[in-house]
Amino acid sequence: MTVPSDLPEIGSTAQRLRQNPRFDPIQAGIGPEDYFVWSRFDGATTLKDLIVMTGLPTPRAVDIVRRLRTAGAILLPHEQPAAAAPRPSAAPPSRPVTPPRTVTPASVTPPRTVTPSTAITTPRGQIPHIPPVIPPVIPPASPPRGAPGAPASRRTPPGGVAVQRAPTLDEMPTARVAAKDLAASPPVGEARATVPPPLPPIPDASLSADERAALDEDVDVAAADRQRILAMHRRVQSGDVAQILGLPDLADKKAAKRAYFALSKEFHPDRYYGKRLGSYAARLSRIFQAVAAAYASLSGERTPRPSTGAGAGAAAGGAPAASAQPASPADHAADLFDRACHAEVSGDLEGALRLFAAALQIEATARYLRRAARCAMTAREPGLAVEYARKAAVLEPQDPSTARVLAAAFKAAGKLDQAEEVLVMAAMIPTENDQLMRELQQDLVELRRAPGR
Amino acid sequence: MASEKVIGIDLGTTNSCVAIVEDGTPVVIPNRGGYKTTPSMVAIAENGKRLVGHIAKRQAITNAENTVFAAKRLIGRKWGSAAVRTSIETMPYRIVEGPHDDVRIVLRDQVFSIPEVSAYILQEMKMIAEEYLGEEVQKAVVTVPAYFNDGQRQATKDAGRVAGLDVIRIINEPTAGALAYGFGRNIERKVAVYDLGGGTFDISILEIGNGVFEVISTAGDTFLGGEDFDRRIIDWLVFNFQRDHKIDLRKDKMALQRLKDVAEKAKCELSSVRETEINLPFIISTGRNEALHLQTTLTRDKLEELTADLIDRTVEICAKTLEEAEIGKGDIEDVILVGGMTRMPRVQQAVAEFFGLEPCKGVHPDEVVALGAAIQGAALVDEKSDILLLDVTPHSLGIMIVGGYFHKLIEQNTTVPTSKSHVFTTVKDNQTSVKILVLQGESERAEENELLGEFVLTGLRRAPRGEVEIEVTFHISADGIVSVKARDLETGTEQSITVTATSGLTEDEIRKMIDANKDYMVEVRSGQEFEKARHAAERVLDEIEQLFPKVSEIISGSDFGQDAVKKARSVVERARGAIAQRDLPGLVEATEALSRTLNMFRGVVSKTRGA
Repeated sequence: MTVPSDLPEIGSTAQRLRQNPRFDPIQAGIGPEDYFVWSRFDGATTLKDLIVMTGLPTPRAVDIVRRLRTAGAILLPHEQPAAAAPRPSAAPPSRPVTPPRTVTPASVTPPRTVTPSTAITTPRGQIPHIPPVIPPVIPPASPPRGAPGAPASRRTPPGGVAVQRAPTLDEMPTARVAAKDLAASPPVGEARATVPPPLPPIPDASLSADERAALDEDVDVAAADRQRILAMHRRVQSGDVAQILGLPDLADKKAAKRAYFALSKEFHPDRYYGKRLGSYAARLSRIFQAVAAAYASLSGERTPRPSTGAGAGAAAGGAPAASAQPASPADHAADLFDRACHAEVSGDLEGALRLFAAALQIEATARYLRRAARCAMTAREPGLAVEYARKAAVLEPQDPSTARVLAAAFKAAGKLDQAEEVLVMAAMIPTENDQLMRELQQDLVELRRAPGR
Repeated sequence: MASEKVIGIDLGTTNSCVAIVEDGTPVVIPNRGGYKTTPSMVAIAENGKRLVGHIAKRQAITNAENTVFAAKRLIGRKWGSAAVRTSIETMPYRIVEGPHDDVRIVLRDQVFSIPEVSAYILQEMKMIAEEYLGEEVQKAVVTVPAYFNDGQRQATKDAGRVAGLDVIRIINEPTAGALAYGFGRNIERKVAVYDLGGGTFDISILEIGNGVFEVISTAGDTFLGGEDFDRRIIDWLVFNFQRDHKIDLRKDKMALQRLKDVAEKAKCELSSVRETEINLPFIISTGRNEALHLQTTLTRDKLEELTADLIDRTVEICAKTLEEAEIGKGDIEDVILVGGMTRMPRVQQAVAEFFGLEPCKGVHPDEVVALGAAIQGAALVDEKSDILLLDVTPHSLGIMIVGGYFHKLIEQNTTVPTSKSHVFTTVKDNQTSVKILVLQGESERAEENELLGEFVLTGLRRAPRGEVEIEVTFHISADGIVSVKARDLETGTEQSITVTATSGLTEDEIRKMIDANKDYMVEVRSGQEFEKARHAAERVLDEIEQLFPKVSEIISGSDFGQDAVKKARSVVERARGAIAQRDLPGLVEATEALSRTLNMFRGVVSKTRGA
């Protein structure tokens, strides 16, 4: 059966669709087959080819594609990630916006469908909770996780206005501060706009025995809160900073701080002070610690620095994320490394070093370390070069090229004896690579000719 | 669903204050006299009646020996500590040693513990609140100086219990100051709280946003406060009097008490006027039936001269705190002044100069702490509260390791709740048990830190040293309770304690304990101390020596062979030299070279064998 040239709600199958980076297949609880199809979307293959490529019967593949589309998992070529909400009712702005000043009172009847109204995180007691009835399956209309722009127009912070009143002048300590407030502080309510992304409940089918038991536990935690705590607990286990904080852009420090504060306000154990929490006590504690750690890893503030962490602090803010994809740590490191190399080649040594440091903080492979050490030498940072090269030598002690980099770094740092020692030792080991050996010996000859020898 | 009432109490060195959040507004509760603060004084009158507050203060001159003030300086302190030594010298009341190396006060032959004395003050504050509210109050948030250690905090909690109060949380005074400052205001900024109270100085840096108050850093000096300023005035008066009359007024407790009163008064007055008269008629008798009077003028300039170094010290601590938190002065958007001493113009000036901005004057320095405590109390019990305080642990926590060192697991200023694990190993062959000494403090030496508790993990497998691994986990809950767990990673056997109170051991006793427990020590698996480095170096040295003949033989024929052997020899000598001279940095570096050498040796041997 041939693939139709048009699909409803998508259009031409000649289009090249791509994944919505803000869609989280795990949270959405899609099936393996759906996931497989989703994983094929690369922005380069036409939908037509893609459907054929899946090897599934065409009608089934088409069904899956349509389902993914409805769930907001895939984007048309012209669409921006934030605009990928299912059935966008209005064209929402792509950046988080101020919640509407006009406030509709919270509906008394629970919403029949799980709408994005569950997304808002307002002060405790004002959270429009997920309906207490656990939906049997994740509704297809569920919002894509982490698309803060999309549900904005539906946010109804009931009673939220009272808390957000602007500071009056008599509350201002000095006129100077008041002026600063007006200039620097975001407009009232904007802080609230940067709330953590919606946290859909875990689909019933994918609940673990542990979680199921927790839902029925005899504790003083409201049903909706249980759902949220369990969902968040799952999320923090990913260990992915972007996921935990619900941030598409890790470089925005202010957004990170707000996300950290907002999540703290939701999950800090003090929010449940005096309540019987049972197993939730440990969960809340773990969630908060993970959130705090995630934030600390971004801010670079007060993170206990490893004693060997050369330039670890430099990573903070130095890694403007180019893409919003919450990639795996290794991928993220590779991405940073590539950009660092690019920066180095284009002459931006300072930027390159910052990016290298960021990459190394995530994953310190010998290859990254060698390259970073060379870059540090070019940037006339011999101390840093030695630090990196040493670490590389620890990882790959018998590798001749690592030895060469280490020797060069020592030489650059004026430690000629150590440079010589490293080269001489490295030359002992037999290797098939004659070229490398010759280079090594050449280095040694040059070193011995160096002034001061 | 009216939530339970929680009062906030600022238990100060000189004055205390109580507040509550009523209908969403924090208010200070005045005492019967209409004053918003109550002197932190307790006395036993001649008829045996207990007097607290203003009434105790009023009779202090005639009953100096039986009137306790500044008990906060003694709370949770050990008998042998410097603070206690100074207090014995300067306080008119009698301080004696308690049974647990703690401190007791004797008033009219009755012995009181310090938490008991503090409890009387807390009870008074509780009563003030109950009269105002017309109902019983059971729960309180009590503030302490940021730099109080666990023992002092625990003693303060104990005092609350004695007073019939459930102290649901202890929070730091500067943090409370920030809560009061930021309450009900939609602000996002970094602030510094400069808290110079009667007895202590604290500085805290907080970040406020969206109702969340995050403590970023906190530090202070528990021996620096208004009383030190008073003492400078007293010293000056005593010195002048001695010069003129050859009589030491310190020897007379009654005179000393009068000097203290007048010094405090003069200090306060000089915050608004430029000079003040000090007049103490009949201060002392010469013994020849002749009474002497003390009459002099103290100017603001003179006071500033007498206390300049004290103010400088606070500024130094501010600088150090900012540096440690890696925060620039320019990042601070507002400075909040807390504590009565911040009324002194020179203090305000010094703060403004240091931070480069006028300190915020919107908060009342005497009331702000109690207000903050009440706000935190309400935040905890009130479900609708929009406030969350992210507090930090003020001191580092860790365990003692081999050599009597302190290995930190949780660094100071870590946001709580938090937990941290580290793997340690045995230090002796066939060591079957380890003792975990839980310590708090910043010193590298174990005995210079405070011992919080100890426990033993037994039943370890008999094995060569360093083979059995023990994982130690620290956890601090949101309310600051510390629990420690040690786990044998082979058998899974666990031991744990929850640190509740201090054991009251002296440094001497801890030192003795270190000696007595040598066989039970653990060592840090990845430590940097010399012994550890030496072990590591020796292990590598052994292997290098073993491989040396073989490697020499293999490579002697190659171009660089002789060179390499020579280099390897020199590396070995360097390491030996560093060990002999106990040169840790040298040894660490030499060990790295040693490991490289060993790796190369191994490479030579294996590749040659394979070829």
